[in-house]
Amino acid sequence: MTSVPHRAEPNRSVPAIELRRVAKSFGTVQVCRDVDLAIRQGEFVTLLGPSGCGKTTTLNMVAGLEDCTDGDILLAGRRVNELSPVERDVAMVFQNYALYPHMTVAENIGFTLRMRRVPRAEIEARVAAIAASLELSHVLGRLPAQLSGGQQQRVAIGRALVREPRIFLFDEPFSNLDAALRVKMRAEVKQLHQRLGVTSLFVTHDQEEAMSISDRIAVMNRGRVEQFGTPEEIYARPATRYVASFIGSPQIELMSGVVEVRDGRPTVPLGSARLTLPEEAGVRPGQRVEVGVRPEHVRLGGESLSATVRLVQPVGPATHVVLDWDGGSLTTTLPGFSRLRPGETVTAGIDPRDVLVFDQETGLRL
Amino acid sequence: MASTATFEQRRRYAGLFLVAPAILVLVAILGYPIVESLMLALHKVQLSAGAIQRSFIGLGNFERLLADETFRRAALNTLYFSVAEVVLVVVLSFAIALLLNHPLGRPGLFRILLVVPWAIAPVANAVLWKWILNANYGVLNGLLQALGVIDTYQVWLGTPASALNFLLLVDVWKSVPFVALLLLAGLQRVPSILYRAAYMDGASRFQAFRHVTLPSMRGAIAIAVVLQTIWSLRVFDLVFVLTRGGPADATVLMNFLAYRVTFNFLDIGYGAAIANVIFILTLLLAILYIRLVRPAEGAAR
Repeated sequence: MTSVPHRAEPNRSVPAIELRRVAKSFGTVQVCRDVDLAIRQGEFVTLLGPSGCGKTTTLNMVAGLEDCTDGDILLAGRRVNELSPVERDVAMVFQNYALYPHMTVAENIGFTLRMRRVPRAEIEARVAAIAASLELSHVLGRLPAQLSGGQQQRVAIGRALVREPRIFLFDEPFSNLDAALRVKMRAEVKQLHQRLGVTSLFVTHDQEEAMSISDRIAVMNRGRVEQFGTPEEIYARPATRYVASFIGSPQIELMSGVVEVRDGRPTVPLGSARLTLPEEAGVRPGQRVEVGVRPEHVRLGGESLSATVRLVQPVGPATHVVLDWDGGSLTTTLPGFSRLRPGETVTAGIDPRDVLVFDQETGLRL
Repeated sequence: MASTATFEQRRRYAGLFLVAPAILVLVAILGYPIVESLMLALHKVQLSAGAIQRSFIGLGNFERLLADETFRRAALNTLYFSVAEVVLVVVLSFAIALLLNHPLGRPGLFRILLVVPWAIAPVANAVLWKWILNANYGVLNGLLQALGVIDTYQVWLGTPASALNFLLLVDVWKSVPFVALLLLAGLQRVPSILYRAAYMDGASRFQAFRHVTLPSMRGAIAIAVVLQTIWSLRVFDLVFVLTRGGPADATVLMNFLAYRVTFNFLDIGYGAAIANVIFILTLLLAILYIRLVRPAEGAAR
């Protein structure tokens, strides 16, 4: 039914993409170090991180556009370090589309088949099928410059699709689109993946994009993978302070303090308030920690602390309210439109089970 | 009045005011000679006893051109010279631009070396080559004899078969640098991401050159071809210094013929007619050039 048939993957237990202690340096600058990843057949994985964290370099190494300085890259169990992209059977969607400006949409999509000397009739049939599935049939004769941003994006995806590759690579493909279109294309790519089931590696710096599209996310920081897990794991159980603060909007609130035991439970005093820590956090009295609280876990009306409203920011489905008290400030997310006014005094409560505790020195979650 | 004008109008007035002096100068030094030369071409002009006598003969001078053996010879020489030079210059320049665009060719030294032939004053360049090609002491003769290519010294510029080709060689040598830089600029404007995309698409180096580089360079190549054609049509200095049109008119190009007819034969009206033929050809090419350059500016985003 679809133009790109499912591939019969021989052995689902062998990772589709495996990186073993992969490192990359440009001269003395080390961009990636000790990157270990194992991506399952058919999985959609995102490399997430700020610019300069090594995510695009990692993607380029999987693509075969850059060599690794150290380590091995295996695709379906086979070491591919020295192979070209075509031999690796991977296709890539580039950040700025990288469409050939002098070729029509049909020529752009069919270019890779032409390079492989596929018969002309077959090229035409495959391009037509891809174009139909991406709603590009009516613009096949146009040049890229005559298309809208979303259409250009779809041509770039079509160019990758037409090869029926074993792996799709996406390098920040939506960064040139406006916000509304970005959300739309995100959904299209996810549906495409659900339909075709081709293993995909996606690079972005947009945490919301990563959360919404991925089966698993690898959060990268300074050339390393800080955490590799499902969106839920990454959000609810971040491995490090860095991951906790990178994921979530508004950002998680981090406050540092010293552990004290009260009534047999670990707590951290913050100004006049006292935050109870979860039982399972392995902390000892006197330990310097950072506690993190996500906005949706701060409930108004509790008795953890009493604070003053500083800022009320409605965003439609929710309202972000910034609270000040003598121990710091907290953001809380309330559903719908709030009637709170700046200067009002409120009380807030935080369930100990929702508090994330990080070691002050190592940044690891306890 | 200024207070009632919109900003748009004020800008337009200011623009006119600022370009007016330049336009007056251009009319005086370009417009007047063009009109005067066209008038000359329509007259029979004779110098006798120190006085100029003009008599209007309409298109008579141009009719003479059609029957003139020497003019036909000059036109054929010019055609051969221009076509050969454009092909040689563009192909060589493209090759050099590709080398300079390669990471190993990036150092500025290569670019400096490249520009030298172009930077030498035209007449100095011609004199330089006159010595290189000299029949008795020329370094080319010495070199070729030492390498065993020739037995005896050749009179390169005195042989009808070779003289025009040596002029061609010298002019190509002088013209390549500019065109190479022009094409290099074009090469550098091809986004490198396209080469990555072509590599991912499985294109070989040659296929990437054919399907990415060449189509992206179409505009730059067209501009190079038109400019070089204009310059080839206008060659005068080399002929004047190296051969004076000889041997046996083998190196007479149209521009040199116009000079010879006007200043050696003092047939001023006829010389002006030849000059006007060159002028019209160049003008057409210049219009083509401007058309080629304009859309490139419009498309630049």
